Amino acid sequence: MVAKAHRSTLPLAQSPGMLLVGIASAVAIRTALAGPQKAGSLFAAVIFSMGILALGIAAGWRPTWSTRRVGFGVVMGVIGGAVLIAFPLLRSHTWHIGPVAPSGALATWSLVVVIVAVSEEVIFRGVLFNAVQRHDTSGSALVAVCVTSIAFALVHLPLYGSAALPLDFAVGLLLGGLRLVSGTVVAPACAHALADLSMGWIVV
Amino acid sequence: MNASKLGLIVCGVALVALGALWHTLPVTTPPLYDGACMSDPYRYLSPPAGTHEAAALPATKNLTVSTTSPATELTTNESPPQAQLLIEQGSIAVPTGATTVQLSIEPVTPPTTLPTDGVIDGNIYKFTAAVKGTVISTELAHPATIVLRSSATTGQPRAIEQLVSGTWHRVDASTLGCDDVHLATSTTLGDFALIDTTTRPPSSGVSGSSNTGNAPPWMLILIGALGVIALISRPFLVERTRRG
Repeated sequence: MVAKAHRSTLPLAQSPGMLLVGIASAVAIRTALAGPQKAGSLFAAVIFSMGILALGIAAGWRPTWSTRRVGFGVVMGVIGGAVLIAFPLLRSHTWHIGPVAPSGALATWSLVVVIVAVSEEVIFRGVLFNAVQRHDTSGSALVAVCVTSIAFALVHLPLYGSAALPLDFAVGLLLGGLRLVSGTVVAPACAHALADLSMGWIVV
Repeated sequence: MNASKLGLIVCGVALVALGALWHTLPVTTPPLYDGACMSDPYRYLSPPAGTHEAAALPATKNLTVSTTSPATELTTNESPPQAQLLIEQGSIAVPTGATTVQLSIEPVTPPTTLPTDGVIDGNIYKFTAAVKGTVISTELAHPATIVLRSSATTGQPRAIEQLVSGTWHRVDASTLGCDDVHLATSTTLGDFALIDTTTRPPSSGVSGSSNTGNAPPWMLILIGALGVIALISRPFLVERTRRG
């Protein structure tokens, strides 16, 4: 699954500005649907994921498969995910591993978490990353990494508050770095999904 | 510079930033980074009327630490923990010769004096430090961080209050993570509770919950967002149609 923008689309759908407006709209919908439950609303999370995936498809994103690249992406993603999980564990000496909810609830939650993580990586490290890189005259991937990391941090503001902003920005940088090293969104998608899934299995 | 090399540099910068951030953050900042929040049902010591009782009761949590150990954290067993204590090295004044100190978080029954500015949300937790079984001074040299989880994610504001000499005193609090975790700093240990200040206590003569707020205008937002998505999609669809 490699982020690839088809040339058959017109520039408007691939413009970073329009993509950011679309992402902001999806966040507004998620926040409104979730109400006081915020990030606890699985329904709102699924609608949000569908919205940003639709946005990505409208911008020309299609999954493409290259066994070698996907394999490398998975390896890089697992390493990145392990690093993300390790940080809070290194800080805490009381953590333990085990399901934090009954198996049925945990299965549903896990599915939603993976869908959210993958769709976020498709739109941020895939579609938006490519759009910014194409739009930027210098063609530097560094600008794309910074823009997508800032956008990634900002979309979490309504759900988790300003306290999460620096952490999500730093995570965005790491995921952007993984995208650059591996050349595919598979790596950040794996790392993101693993880090989020750990919440259901590791109690810190 | 090629993409892989730049990517490695970006990863390195991100790792340094993450290390620094995790070093300064409280332990419980759920979710770790992102994703859907998930909480255990709240464990009440004395469930309020009409509340479905959780399977387990809240338990007391103890931890014995060396007086020379660095920053210490003590958390209750729920996920996320219903109460936490984060304390710096040298915060507790221990008697001469003591090498260890026992920290404890214990859910306690409500006292006869209740807060006048709201109702208690969840359990009252007693935070103590003891040496050889004897509770020592509650005064701390450095502020400790007290973290309490709300009994439900309501989106309504909560205050953290401390019971001092039979009177409830509010301490500055902020909200973390999934909006149901609240933390405050305090220079003393003792009894702390979350207070729902949007609900008047029964004695005030005003009954029931108030300030539920207006429902979000999600229909308008949804229609607007769909319009934007349609606008973005239109050129793509038109182009497809032409090609088809």
